[in-house]
Amino acid sequence: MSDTLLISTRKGLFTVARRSGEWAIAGVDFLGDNVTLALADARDGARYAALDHGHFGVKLHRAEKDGGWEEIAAPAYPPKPEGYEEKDLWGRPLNWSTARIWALEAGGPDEAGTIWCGTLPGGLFRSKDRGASWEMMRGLWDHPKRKQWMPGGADLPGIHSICIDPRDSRRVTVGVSTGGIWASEDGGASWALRGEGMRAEYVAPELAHDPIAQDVHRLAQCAADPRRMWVQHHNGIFVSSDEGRTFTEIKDVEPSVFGFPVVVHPRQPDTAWFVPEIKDEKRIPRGGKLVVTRTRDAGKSFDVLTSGLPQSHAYDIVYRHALALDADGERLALGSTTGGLWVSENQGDSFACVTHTLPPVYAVAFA
Amino acid sequence: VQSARIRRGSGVQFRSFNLSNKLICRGIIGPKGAPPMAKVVFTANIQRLVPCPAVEAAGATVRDVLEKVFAENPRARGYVLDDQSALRKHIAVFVDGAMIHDRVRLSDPVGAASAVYVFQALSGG
Repeated sequence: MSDTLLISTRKGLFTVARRSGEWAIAGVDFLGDNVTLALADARDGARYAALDHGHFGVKLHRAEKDGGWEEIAAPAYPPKPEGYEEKDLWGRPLNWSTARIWALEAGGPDEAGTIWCGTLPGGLFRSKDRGASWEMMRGLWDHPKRKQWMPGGADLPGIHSICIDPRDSRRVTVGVSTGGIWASEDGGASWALRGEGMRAEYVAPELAHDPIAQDVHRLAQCAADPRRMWVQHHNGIFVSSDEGRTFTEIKDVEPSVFGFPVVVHPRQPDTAWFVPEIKDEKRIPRGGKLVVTRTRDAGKSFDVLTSGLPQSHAYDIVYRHALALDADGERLALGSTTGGLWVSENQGDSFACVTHTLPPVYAVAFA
Repeated sequence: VQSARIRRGSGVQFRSFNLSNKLICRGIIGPKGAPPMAKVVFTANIQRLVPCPAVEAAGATVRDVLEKVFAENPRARGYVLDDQSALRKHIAVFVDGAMIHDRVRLSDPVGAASAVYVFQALSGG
């Protein structure tokens, strides 16, 4: 079981560690800087941190196991062809430049050194040398339908979820906000849109079932049964048993089906966790009670987990990368926009508050 | 470690800076008696992220001058320019007291004795 957490926040990267049965902040790196995402690579112990320096752009840093941080290459978009025009939603020229690192995932166990990176405004990158250099997946970026992607979680479309199939590392599935679910079976060379069965409430009825109109907030794939994928969507929860080709909507979930994150148990495909908020236009926990919901039967029923979570005047939002499950599927951690951090060692049956005074939390990861 | 001072045309003296990164200096600052070159000064706020000591560099345009600086200090490039080599959205460049107009091609002219300031813009918060 993992005894370490990496907490990416608006004001630094916090390391939280379990000592003598208690979780506590053990250190902070990049204090004062905006750390938007971190990755702990279980294959070699390296850690990666994405920083957004605002004026000075998006940067990426790597620390070797037990080593210090050094800046490495950030994924960079290729030169826009001379005379080529592409506009954003508001008719302004779309800048081919990394605006945010929104997904960081290690490649498969047979791909030492391979790291995947999803970005705003929609570029997917792969490094085969641990971030020393990056290659954009042109097959996805140049796909004609990519231009139909829309801003969802930000003013630009972006890739926030990357799933590497444990059976075959060439099979990669990504979630786009907003642009549905895209899959490659050839290591990123060619891509196809998936996600039939999802439903969007925020577009004209004619488009509601178009897979490219789906605002996937987070996509998760079961390690032991990669056919099973879970989606927390802008207006619902959806589950797939065929690698994201088709989905079934899970309805009537209390207290709500709106939220950002989802995690799935690594060995039990029917077990998944969510953090509900009231609704898209009311993004706070219902009744001021922060809860985690858990299904163990593929969405037929849900437990509402409250033990150890604030149940009065709690207005925490848990972003899409801020709910984490450890590799054993026992420890669960969540961090919130109001600086709360909670850890459970029993799959969410009870939580312990580590702190409620962190800067806004963007991402939580077990290391 | 060297120390140097620069002056703007107005005669206002700015604080001294250390040329501790000798690699950056090599090939940019000309020998004594060489024709004057533009002076390039970076905002203090960038220094903790990537050292950018003030340097002198020759060039007819902002692009020419900055490319010479980045050739010697490649890490600094991505902090000032975006992936398309345009000025980052919230970076401001001034030449002899005037904000440049061409933020994409950086074609604004630079004189032999110009002062080029690379600042963060207020627009970025």
